[in-house]
Amino acid sequence: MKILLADDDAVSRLILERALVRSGFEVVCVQDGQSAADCLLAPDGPRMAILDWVMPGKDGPTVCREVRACTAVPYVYLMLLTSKEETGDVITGLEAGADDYLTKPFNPEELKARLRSGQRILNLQDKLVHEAQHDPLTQLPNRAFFVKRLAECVRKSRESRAFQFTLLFVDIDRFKLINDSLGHATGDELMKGVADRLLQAVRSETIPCDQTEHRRRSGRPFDSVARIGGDEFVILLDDFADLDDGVRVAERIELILKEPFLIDGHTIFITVSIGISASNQRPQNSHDDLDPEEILRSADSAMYRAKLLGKARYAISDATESTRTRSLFKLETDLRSAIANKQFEVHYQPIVDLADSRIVSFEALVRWRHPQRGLIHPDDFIATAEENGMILAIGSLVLRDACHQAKRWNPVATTRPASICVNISPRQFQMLDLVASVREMLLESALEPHLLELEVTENMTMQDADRASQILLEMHKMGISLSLDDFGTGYSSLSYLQHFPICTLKIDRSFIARIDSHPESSQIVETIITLGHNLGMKVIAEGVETRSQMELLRRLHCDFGQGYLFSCALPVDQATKLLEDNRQGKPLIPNNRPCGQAALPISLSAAS
Amino acid sequence: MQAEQLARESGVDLPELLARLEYDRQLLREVFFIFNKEFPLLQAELTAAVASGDFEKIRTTAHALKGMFASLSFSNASSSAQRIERMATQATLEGISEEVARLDRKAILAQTALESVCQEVLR
Repeated sequence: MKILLADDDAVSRLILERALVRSGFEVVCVQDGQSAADCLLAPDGPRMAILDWVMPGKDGPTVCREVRACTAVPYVYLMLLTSKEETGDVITGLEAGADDYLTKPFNPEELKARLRSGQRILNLQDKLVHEAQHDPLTQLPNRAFFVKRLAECVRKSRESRAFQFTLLFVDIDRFKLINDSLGHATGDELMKGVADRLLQAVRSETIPCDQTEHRRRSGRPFDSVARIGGDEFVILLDDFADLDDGVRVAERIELILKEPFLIDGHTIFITVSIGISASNQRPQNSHDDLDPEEILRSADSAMYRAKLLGKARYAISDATESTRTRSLFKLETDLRSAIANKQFEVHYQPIVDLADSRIVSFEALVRWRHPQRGLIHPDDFIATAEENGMILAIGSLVLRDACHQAKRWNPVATTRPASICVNISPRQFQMLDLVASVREMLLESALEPHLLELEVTENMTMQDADRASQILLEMHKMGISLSLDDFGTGYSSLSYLQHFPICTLKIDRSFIARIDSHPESSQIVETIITLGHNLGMKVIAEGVETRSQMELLRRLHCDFGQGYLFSCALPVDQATKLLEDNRQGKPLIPNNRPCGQAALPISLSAAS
Repeated sequence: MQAEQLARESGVDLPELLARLEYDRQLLREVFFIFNKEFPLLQAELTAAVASGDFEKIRTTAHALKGMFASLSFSNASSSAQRIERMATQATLEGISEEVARLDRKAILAQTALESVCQEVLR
């Protein structure tokens, strides 16, 4: 270890120097305070110092104060040399930032003991700093440290546009599957293996966190690899002028991770999705507001796009992407506020019996009444809410409203009940307490369970068929009806249809839209209707918009229809009026439909 | 040992010095060599400072001498340097020349004793 010895007394200096050399130190000797300060504040300067109190230029306490004022250098353990009779100096010295003191003339054993104590403190401090800035599993820098390093690059980039950098956001595809199937210990080993290979793919040395400033001062480019989340790694390519360089590194990473990992007897193949973002992608005039977190988000968004495009690939962030990210962020913020301020309302779209045109149920559909943007369609926010988990709050709100409303529509048992259909989102379906939560809503609203129909999609049930089966059976036992939404667009697994207690199939609107123009769509619809009926299910056609579609569906013996032809989703008061009129035998009159959508000449009362 | 007795009589704590040097004879010689080079310079600086009444210079030079003597375990000379430093801090010239003369004598005695030790060590 390097130690600085600053003393203008040549005799004392020589004696101390020899004692330090004998203790295994590499000793740097200076004779004045200024040289001592320069040496300690230089890159790769000594981590320990013995400073004489009185020196030409600057005294020991002044040097201590200067060293402590500089946060860019790693911590230096400072010892002051003071005369035995000047004990008052000890307090002044410690206040100035010294860690310890040594009296002149020194005792060699005491010197060694104090040095050992100093080394212990430095080691402990280095360990704490390392732990605070590194991921314990891979020993790579963690998010906090990485963002600090990124901020440093942003600063350099602001100072000079000649300095550019590229960020790669690397996410292991289907890592959860590996973790769940092979166990966390294997997952951890895999993570370490990935970290090692990523380091091989870049110009990286694993840089001790406390030396970054020194590296920065040295001006040499170097890449940083960090682990910032479960299976998320980021790579900062320092001083890369060209985005193509980032692409080349991404390709190298893909190649280097292609080789299987052999862990605990398992041969594991992985792929990664990589998002690439570069500092020079930003417009000329926006360089001043370059933000480390935003660049990170931008690379994250690009990575997410790579996932959406099918995983095992890279995607480059662009300005549009960046704008999208900002809008997404705004949307998330607005969504949070919408939940807090109760800006969501439930609209109801009738589902009509195609045989006699009576309303048999309503589908509850959420709408967002945004204070500035007006009524927002769920297509514009559900995906985001699903992604960030806010769908749970929204879903719960819709379910509660719908149950209470259905109870109001069916206060007593009637021969013409109108049930309520509520969509369950994938996130809700993963909730451990979904069944309990539905049961609670039913109790709270006093709605009879058979008047509640929950809609699930095939994708939800396919992810974990056993669990899905258990949930659906419990719901079924409670008396709740279950329908399979968007049927025909997913797996359309007949086996699942048989095993799940599904009562109703909802044919996806994409088939209905082409039913009267594409014979194959008509055949698919007919097949689904027949299939559903053979399995004892009812069938609903979604997205019915024209009279000819409706007539064809009737001919195919489809049970129910839903769509703009009958009515769009209506606010509760209008839906209530529609139901009351319909119950009194009044037909749905297209020209009067409040939503004003696709007005078509139709009289359902004439339907046979 | 004759040199040891001389050292004791000259106010040099030889056991303490040798322990500090971790009984390194070569180092003892090097230290003595440096002392012989440095001491006359500081001695001259102190005399000049006293002559010109420069208290700050007297104080810093006496402080340096005090440290050097202490490192060599020249306890008598070190005490004398400390007294001069204190006088300078209090800005008093009264008796300072006499104290400087005493310091010179004590330092030379210690120097002579140490030289004997070095010679004995070399034999």
